Amino acid sequence: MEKNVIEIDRLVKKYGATLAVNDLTLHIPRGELFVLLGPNAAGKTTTLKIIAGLLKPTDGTVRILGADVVTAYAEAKKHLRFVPDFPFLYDKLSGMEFLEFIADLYGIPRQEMLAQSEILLTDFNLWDQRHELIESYSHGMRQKLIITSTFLTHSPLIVIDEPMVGLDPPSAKTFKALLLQHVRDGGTVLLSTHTLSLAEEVAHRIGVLHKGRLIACGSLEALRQQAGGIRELEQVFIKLTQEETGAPA
Amino acid sequence: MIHEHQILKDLEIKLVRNHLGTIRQHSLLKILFCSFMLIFMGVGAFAFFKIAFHFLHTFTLVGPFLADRFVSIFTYCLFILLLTSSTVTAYMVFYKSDDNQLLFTLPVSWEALWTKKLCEIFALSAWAFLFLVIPFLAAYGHFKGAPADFYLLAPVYYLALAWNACAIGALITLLFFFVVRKAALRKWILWAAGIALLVSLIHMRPDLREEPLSSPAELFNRILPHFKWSFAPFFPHAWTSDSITALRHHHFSDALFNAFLLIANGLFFFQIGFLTAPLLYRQSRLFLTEDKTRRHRGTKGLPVLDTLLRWLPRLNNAERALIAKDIRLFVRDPVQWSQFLIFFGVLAIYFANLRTFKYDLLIPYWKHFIFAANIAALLMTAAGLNGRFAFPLFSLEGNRFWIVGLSPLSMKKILIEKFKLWFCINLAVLWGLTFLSAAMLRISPALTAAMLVLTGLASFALTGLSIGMGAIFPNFKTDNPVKIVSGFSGTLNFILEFCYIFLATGIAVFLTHSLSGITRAAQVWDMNSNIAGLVLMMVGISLAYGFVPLWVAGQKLAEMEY
Repeated sequence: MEKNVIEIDRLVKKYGATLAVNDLTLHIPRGELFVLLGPNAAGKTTTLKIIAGLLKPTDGTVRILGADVVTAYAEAKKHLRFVPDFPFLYDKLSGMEFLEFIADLYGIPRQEMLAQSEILLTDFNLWDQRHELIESYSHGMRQKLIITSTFLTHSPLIVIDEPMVGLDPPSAKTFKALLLQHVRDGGTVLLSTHTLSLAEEVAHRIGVLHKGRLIACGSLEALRQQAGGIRELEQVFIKLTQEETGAPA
Repeated sequence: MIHEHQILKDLEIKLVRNHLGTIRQHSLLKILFCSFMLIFMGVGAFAFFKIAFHFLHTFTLVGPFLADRFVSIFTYCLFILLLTSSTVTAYMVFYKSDDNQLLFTLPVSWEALWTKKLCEIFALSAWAFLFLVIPFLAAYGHFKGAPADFYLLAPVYYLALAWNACAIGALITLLFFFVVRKAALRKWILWAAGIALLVSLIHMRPDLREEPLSSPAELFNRILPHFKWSFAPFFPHAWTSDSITALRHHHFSDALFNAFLLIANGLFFFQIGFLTAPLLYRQSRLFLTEDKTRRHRGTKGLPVLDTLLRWLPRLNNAERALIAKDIRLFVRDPVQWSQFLIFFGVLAIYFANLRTFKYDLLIPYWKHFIFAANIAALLMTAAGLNGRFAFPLFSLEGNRFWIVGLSPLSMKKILIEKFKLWFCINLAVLWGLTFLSAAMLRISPALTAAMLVLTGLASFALTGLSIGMGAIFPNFKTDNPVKIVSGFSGTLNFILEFCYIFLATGIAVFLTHSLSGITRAAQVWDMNSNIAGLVLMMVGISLAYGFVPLWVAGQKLAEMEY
């Protein structure tokens, strides 16, 4: 069995002359919740999209459970659930129909899907609206549905870009509990966010990406040490990124 | 593999079912209007084709032959049309669909995606079937007294033809984006293809310009050689048209042979796409994504616009900023300006070629009839585009209320600025094209002036109506202009526009008829009282059409809560 779920080696992504990801090496083992932080345009979304196979690396390799996302894409994406920052949902499906569609694709038996959906949708306070068309859902409701569908599939790897936008506090709490349960069950999560409190609460390791480079990586405590013993993650983040830019802290 | 095909099929069925289920949520007015227009267009197309077949039959000896040739040419043109439209549709479906990002990250094979997308392209080509094929076949069958089974079997052949066109068109698109990886090169190739098309059209033109035509039959002698491809036996359109004539004569063996040809050909192209999808589709999509993300949409702004707006008197900075913003958004949204360009561009090309067809040498009655018809086409196009673009303007602004609504401008002022801008655009386009049409047809200055007044009034009426109605019935729930337009108020706006155009066209016809003898502008003042009364009525109605919705909208905006 592969020890690492994600293996990124010397990943480079160029857009013309612009270097979006610069020589990124990162290995994420099974059962880890890794949070990727970084200022805007640091290369976080590009990295996640390469992992999801939506973009092709200019150089380097990305493997999911040993399957290369370029050469063995079909195999790689079997293990992966990717939730982008602006996820698409079929407006003319009801919430339940969408979940059925996702469950069918991942081969989840109908009874199991129904039982799981009931638990998740109830936790997210969406059970009563499950037969309404998605077009009538608010942004937060859509986000909850996407998260429900993500945890329904029991994929070994969940990759999420900015998951907290639009979630109310109870749903955010439920979401965090689901993430932690997933990694306790042996799953792996790679999450990109600007919500530093989320990173503080749930991350096993945090990576700080800046101008395409991984400038810091480790546990929250390790990052604090690297930033000279600052306690607040916000201050740690600002110090690390400003040190890279050369701006005064 | 079968499993995922089944899941995707179920998905599509649910989407269609739910979509149909939501139709009853639309306004009754809209449903009735759309049904009426659908029936009107279907019956209109049937009548048109039937008249065409009867006209061809008037040529002794060659009449029946010409009718069958017409079937071949129709099928050939339809095939080219479907092939072209499916290549464009394929680009949208393969690379631009909203659900692509979701589907690409799900465990769905590229083969299944190809099948799903091809079925979508095929479904989107249904317009041709509904509006062209069914009326055409009904007219042909009725004209030829075809047996009942003809009406059942003939449409199936056109479905098979459409499938062939879609499969080939989809493959062309995939291959094009797979082979030509640089965006700049693609642009050059498309330009070159456009120029080649133009040159080939010009190549056809000399025959039409030769003169004189001794008889209508001679026209066919000149035109038919240009359609020799419609009889080429190695193409799906020829198999289809041969089958139609075979079915009419009960030659079932020939029809069956052609059916096998069509099915085998359609499956062959489908299978090529199916087998190569993991390479062609996936790689071409990745190339295109690279291009898209690489492109930095920098802009140097529109310095000409800024200079122009500075020259405009009586505008404060806020008003100037609002106008500049609207123009910039319009210019930078290809969907908007391309539709403008296509509709008015086609009219401009047609108007510019009026002398090519020698319409300016026709007797005054027909010349003036064509002029009035041109004005009607112009007004219809203007109405369609006003309904589509001017009507949702206020709703879209309301959705961004925090930007404009909180600015120093009052909402009434915003409404008036939008009206002024669109009125100027409408006026410039309508006057330009009216003048072009008049000049090419050598219309008298008096009649030209009268039509310029009429189109000027129409610009005022249609702009005021669309902007006003859009503000009276705003929809702040969506950012999608199509959804805003397709509601009750959008339909009502279109019906009111339609009524106005009906009236304006009637007056245009009356004026062209009444003023046809006038050669000097001064003579217009000698018009009789009936004409004067009609013109005054038109002025009154136009002013009411423009002012009343704007006034009501202004009142409503003062009370409105956002």
